[in-house]
Amino acid sequence: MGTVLEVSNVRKVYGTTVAVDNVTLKVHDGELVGLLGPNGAGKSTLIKISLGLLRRDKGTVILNGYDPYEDSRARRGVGVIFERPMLPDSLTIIDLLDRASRIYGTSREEVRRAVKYTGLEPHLYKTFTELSAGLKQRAAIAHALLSRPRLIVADEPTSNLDPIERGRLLELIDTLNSDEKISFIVSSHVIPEISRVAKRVVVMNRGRIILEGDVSEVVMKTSVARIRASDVKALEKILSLSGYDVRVEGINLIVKLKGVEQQAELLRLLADISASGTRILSMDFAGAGLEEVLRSG
Amino acid sequence: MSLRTYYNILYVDVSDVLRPPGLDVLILLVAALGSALVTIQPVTSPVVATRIALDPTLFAAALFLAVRGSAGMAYLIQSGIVNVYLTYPIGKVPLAVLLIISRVFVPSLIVLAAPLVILTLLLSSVMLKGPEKALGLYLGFFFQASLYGLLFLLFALRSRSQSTSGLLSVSAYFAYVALALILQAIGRSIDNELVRKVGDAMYLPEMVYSSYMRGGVETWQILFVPTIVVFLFVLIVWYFSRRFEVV
Repeated sequence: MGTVLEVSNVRKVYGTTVAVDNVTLKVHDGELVGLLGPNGAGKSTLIKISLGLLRRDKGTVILNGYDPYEDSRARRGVGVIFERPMLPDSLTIIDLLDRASRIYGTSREEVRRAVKYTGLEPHLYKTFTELSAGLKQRAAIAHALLSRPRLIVADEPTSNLDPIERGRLLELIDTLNSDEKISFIVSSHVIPEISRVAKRVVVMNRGRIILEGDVSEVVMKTSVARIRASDVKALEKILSLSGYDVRVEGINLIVKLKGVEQQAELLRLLADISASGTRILSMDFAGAGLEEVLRSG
Repeated sequence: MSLRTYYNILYVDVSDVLRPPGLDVLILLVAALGSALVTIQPVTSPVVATRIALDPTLFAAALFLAVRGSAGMAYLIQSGIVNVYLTYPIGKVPLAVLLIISRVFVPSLIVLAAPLVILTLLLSSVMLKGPEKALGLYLGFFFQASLYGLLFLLFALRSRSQSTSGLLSVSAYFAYVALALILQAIGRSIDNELVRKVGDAMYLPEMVYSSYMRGGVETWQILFVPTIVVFLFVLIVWYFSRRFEVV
């Protein structure tokens, strides 16, 4: 399997703020990598450095065999979708896509395919600013597809969309990855979104990669139990003494768990606690939030 | 990278710069104003006619360059459209050159050409007496407008703000004109020929006009504005390709 993007020991500093610190990342052909992290983690900076849009202070970046900051050939076959989709609005969508296909040196057939894939047919004679947020993101995807991409980089592509559009967009990304074998880097701070499409996930925080691996290993193995009890403080104390990572959130006690075994162990312990007089009012298990993943990193 | 790629990026950006309303209205105004000013005066020389028509047009061109060129460029940066341009498989140096062409050279050429075309149609007997001289003076105005436009573009790249770059641009225009007048006045009052000539040289159309009508213009005075234009051109290309960072 070939490597589309290879980032090695990259560092970027803005004034006194280290935006990206010694990051190393590889993206292989056909792979869909999720880049997970809170706002300010350095995801967008890393993406822009990877595309050659930002100067790096240290490290190397090889995109399509070239350094993207020095050689524009690196960006051939690379489509980009930004968080706030924006395209020139002086032309209609069809004119703009037609021009973009000429810029990328691709055919009109590619325009037709991109339009069909993204379902933009009814909106071709509108300008970009006349489109809804979801359609703007679709237009940005159509634009990215015109590069006949080997890699598409999507920087928080769902952040401005409603839940329905989010679902559609993630489905489209998944289809393009599985059917067209296009590699993707999709950044987000929403774990369920990344879990839905990515096979491998890279978790960033404060400019560093803190976790990396298969989605099942990094995200799925961490879960939380939300417990309501008659005496939350007493329960917190008992579970802490038993070695659990617990915190009180309002009237709930949040217990961080690793793996199914720990879930079973917690249930047994709660049964004992309940028998000794502390009433357990309710309990449910949920997938870990970004905070838990970051804390496990 | 092929010329086709460059042409199509240029096409997209020029479409933005020249989108209506704006340029079309401006062209109508300057064409009407230029031709009106010329036709109410007994003009027999193509150089005089061109100057009368283009002097007020240059001011309109400077305003257009401040709004569409400079503030428009700041909008490209703020909105993220420049990021899209930068993701195209094209180097930063050619992209900088294309942006200068679309944001400065093309609008300058078009706005200044509008009254000249009308003038040639209305007063063909006068204009055809010396079309090369009219063209020479037109080039003088073009370089002068390009100087303003490049300066404004630099402000846009540095400030990244529409309002700041627009304000800086208009202020810089008046400051430049004032500086030229001050140098001329100082040169005359202290009887310093060099200072006066530098003041004169800051307005290229006057130098070209004088060289056609009166003579006595030195070569360096003709080259003064084009040299600043070349310097600003190189500075912007360098800045955009080596120092400019997207947001």
